[in-house]
Amino acid sequence: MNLTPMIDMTFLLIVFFILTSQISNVEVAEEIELPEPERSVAAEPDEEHRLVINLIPDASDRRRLSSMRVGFRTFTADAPGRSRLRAELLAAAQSDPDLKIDIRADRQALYSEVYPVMSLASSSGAKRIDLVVSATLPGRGDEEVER
Amino acid sequence: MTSALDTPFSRTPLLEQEGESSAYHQPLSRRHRGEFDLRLNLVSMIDVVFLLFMYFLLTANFTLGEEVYLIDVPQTRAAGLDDPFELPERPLAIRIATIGPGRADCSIRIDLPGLAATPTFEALYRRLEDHRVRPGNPTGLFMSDNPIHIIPTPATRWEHTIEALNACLRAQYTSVRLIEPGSAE
Repeated sequence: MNLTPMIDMTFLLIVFFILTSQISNVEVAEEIELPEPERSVAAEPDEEHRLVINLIPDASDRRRLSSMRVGFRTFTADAPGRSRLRAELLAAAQSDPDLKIDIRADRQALYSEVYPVMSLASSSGAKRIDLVVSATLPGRGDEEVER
Repeated sequence: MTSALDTPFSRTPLLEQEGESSAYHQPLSRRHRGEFDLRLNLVSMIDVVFLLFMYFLLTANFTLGEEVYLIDVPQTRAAGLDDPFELPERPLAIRIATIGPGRADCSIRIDLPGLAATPTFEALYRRLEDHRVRPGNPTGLFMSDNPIHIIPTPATRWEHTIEALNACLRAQYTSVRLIEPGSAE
């Protein structure tokens, strides 16, 4: 058996998995616990490209933000960080007129921490802003509640 | 001694036939000698399998188990386009506040006389649904496109904000907005 092409393909697969696992870690921050509303009517996200803003909670107090992450870039949760994020969003909206933004925030986060980011995204010129929640598992929350 | 060429229909043993033919003739192909040698080339098969594997990996849709709520982005309206005879719609304000660590520890209040505070988000949904104008309920208070403003306090947890948003959208209201925290609107 000629092992050379098999080894070639194996290395290609390894490179593929390394690259894709890195991208998924950047796009979706694992440390965020998304809200899971009961009887959710949220829609499944479409396949189109979107810019994801991850609001990373503080490790000691999950109600507060420690940083904001967009792709590979991390912004501090203070005023300078917000202004840098605003510049980033404005540049993204200028390069893509159909820009769609996803906001992922922890369920414990305070509204006063999330709202400024929503406001930034709204004023950036994005065409659409989505709030990301955890998907309701099939069969959960389907039972009828007495009126 | 007879060779394989002299008796074309005979079947001579392979070793004897190969020995004689190699001595006098060009070797016959195995098919002409009545043998069928089926061999599988594993290298090309593995190549194709890996290519198919790569194709399915790249085209597969890796779902994250997440869903999204669409938020209306405020659009700037051009001057002079408003209808001067159109009455401004008064938004229905829903105020929510987190009052404890539990998931159900939330105060929900609708800013409208006659509509008392609702104890749960399920009750909020029922109340909004009961007051929505629809074919079976023509005397409802609100149309589906009646603006609803959700006004959380600054200390309201995000999960309670999302629950309130979900209750409004579940009751099939189409114009729901999240307002600045603690707004006196």
